[in-house]
Amino acid sequence: MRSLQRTLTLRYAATMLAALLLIGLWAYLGVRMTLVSELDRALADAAAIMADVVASGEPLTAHVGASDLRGTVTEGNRLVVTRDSTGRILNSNSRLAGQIPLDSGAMILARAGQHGWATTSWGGRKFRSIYIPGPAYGRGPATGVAVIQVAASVMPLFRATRTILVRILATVLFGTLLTGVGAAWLARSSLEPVAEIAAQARSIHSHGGAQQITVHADVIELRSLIEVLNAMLARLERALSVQRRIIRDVGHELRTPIAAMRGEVEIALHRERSPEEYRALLGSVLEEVDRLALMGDQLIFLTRFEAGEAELQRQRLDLAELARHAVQQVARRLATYSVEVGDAPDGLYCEADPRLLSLALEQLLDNITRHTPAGTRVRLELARIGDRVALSVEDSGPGVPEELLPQLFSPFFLADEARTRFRAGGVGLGLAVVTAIAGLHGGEMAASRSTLGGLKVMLLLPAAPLHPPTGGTLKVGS
Amino acid sequence: MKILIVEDDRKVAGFLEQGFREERFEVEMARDGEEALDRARAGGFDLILLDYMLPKLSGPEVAAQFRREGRTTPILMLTARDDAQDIRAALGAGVDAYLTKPFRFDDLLKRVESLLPGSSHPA
Repeated sequence: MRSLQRTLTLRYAATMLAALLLIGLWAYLGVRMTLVSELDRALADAAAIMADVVASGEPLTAHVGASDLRGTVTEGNRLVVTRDSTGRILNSNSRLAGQIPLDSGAMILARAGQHGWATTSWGGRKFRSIYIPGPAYGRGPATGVAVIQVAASVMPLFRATRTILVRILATVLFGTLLTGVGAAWLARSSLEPVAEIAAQARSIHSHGGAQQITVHADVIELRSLIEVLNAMLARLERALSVQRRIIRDVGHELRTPIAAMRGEVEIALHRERSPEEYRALLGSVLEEVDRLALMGDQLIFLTRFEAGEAELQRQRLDLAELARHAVQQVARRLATYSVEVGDAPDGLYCEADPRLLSLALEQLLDNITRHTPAGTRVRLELARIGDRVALSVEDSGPGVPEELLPQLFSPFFLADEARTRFRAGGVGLGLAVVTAIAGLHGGEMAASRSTLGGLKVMLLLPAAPLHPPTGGTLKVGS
Repeated sequence: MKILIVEDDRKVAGFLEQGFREERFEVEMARDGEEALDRARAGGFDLILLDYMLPKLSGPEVAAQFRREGRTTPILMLTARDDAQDIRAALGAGVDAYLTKPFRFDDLLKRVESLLPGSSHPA
C-alpha cells in the first residue's frame, strides 16, 4: 500500500532539491561571470597603467611581477610584457613575465589597435591576458607599434568559484534535508484531520446510531468529504432504520395471526361445538395460515430485494384478470366484506412479474381485511392514466389522517414510528413490499382519501401497448 | 362483571368477545382509540382490555387520557410488542398489567380475574 505521507514528503523534498539546484547553478554561474569580468576589468586597468609607464620610459621592472608561478597566485601580481610587432619580447617586469606564452590572435587584434583577450595555459596554470596597443618603438626602418601584454593567474578566481560551488552544494543538500523534515511534518499534520475523521467514523460504526461526523467540519478543504460521508451515513442509517423497523414489524405481525389462531382454537376447545362452528373455526384458521404464507412470501421477496437480487420475470399481463385473481386469493378473508371490482376499460395491459404484482394486490386487500370491520365496502378499480395503468384499492374504513397521505409510501415514513397511529400494527412490512414491487416495475404508489370515506391506495405502472408484439398475454392463475 | 374489549384485529376481537361471553362476562367492544375512550367514559366497566396498537389513538394514549380524567378502572394491555420501551410507555400511561400476544386465554382470564375489584388474587 502506498503512503500518502511518504509520497508528499518525497515530492516536496524533490521539488525543493530541484529548485535549490537551479538557484545554486544560477548563483554559481553569475558569481563566476562576475569574477571573470572583474578580473578582465582589473587587467584592463593594469594594462592602461602599464601603457603609461612604457610611454613615460619608466622601467617595467619598477612594477615587479611575481618571481615564480606560485607567486602569480599568492601575490596576485601582474605579469607585464611589451612585444614588437612580431611578438618578440622588448621588455618585461620580471624574468618570469618574459616566459609567458604569446597568443597570436590577441596579438593581431592589438596590432590593429584593439584590445585582445586570451586565456592560455602555462606551467600547469591558466593565465588571462590582455593585449593592448603600446607606444612606438625603434628608429628608422625598424620602428613599429609595441603591444603591451598584461597577464594574471586565474587560479584565485578558480579557488573562489570552487569554494562558492562547494558552499552552494552544501546549502542545497542541507536545505533539501531540512525541507524533507519540514515536508514530513507538514504532510503528517495535513493528514491528521483525515485520521481524526476516520477515527470518528469508526466510532460511529461501532456504536451505531444516527450520528454525523463533526470533527474538522469547518475546514474548507475537508468540507466536501465530510458532507459526502455524512450523507452516506444518513442514508445508511435510514436504510438500517427501515430494516430494523421491518424486522421488528415482522415479529409483531407474526404474533397477531398466531394469537388469533391460538385464541380461536383455544376458545373452541373450551367446550363442545357444533360441526358448523368447527367448520367456521377451521376456515378462520385457514385464513390466518394464508396470511402467514403471504408474510413468508413478503419476507423472501424483501430479503432478495434488499440484497439487490430481486429478479423480475416480466410478462404481458391482462390487468383485469390479475385483479380478479387477487380477489379470489383473498376471497375467504373478504367473505364478510362488500367487494366490487370495477369494469376495466378494454385493453389494460402491463409488462410485469405476475407473482410480484399478485403479491402487491393481495397485500393491499389483506390490509383492508385486517384493519377495517366486517361489512366495510371495498372497491377495486382499473384505469388508464396517460401512459400508465392504475390499479386502485379503496375502502369505506377509518382512513388515514390527511397529513400522512402524501408520505405514506416514502422510505422515511417507513422508518417513522408515528405512522403506526393510523393503521395499527404491522403494516410496515406490507407497505415496504408494495413500494418495492412498484419501484421494481418502474411504477409508484399513491395514497388519497377515498370517495367511499376511507383510504384509496393506487399502484401506478407503465402501460404496455394495446396489441402484443408476439406470444399473446399471460392469463394470471392459469 | 362488565368488560370493555378494545381490539382492532377482527379475529382477535372475535375470540376475546366469544371467550369472555362464554365465561359469563358482559362484553362491549371498541375498534379504535377514540371509540374506546367514548365507551370507557360512559362507564360501568369493571375492567378494560386494551390493545397497544390502535387506529386514531394508541392504547397508551387512551390509558393516559383515561387516567388524567381521574378514572381508576383497571386496565390490562394486550400487545404483540414487548420492547422494554413499550412496556415502560404502557405502565407509565397508567396501565395496570401487560400481556404479550400470543397468550393462552386461560392465562388472560386469570390476569383479568386478578385485576377485577374484589379479587382475592391481586395482579
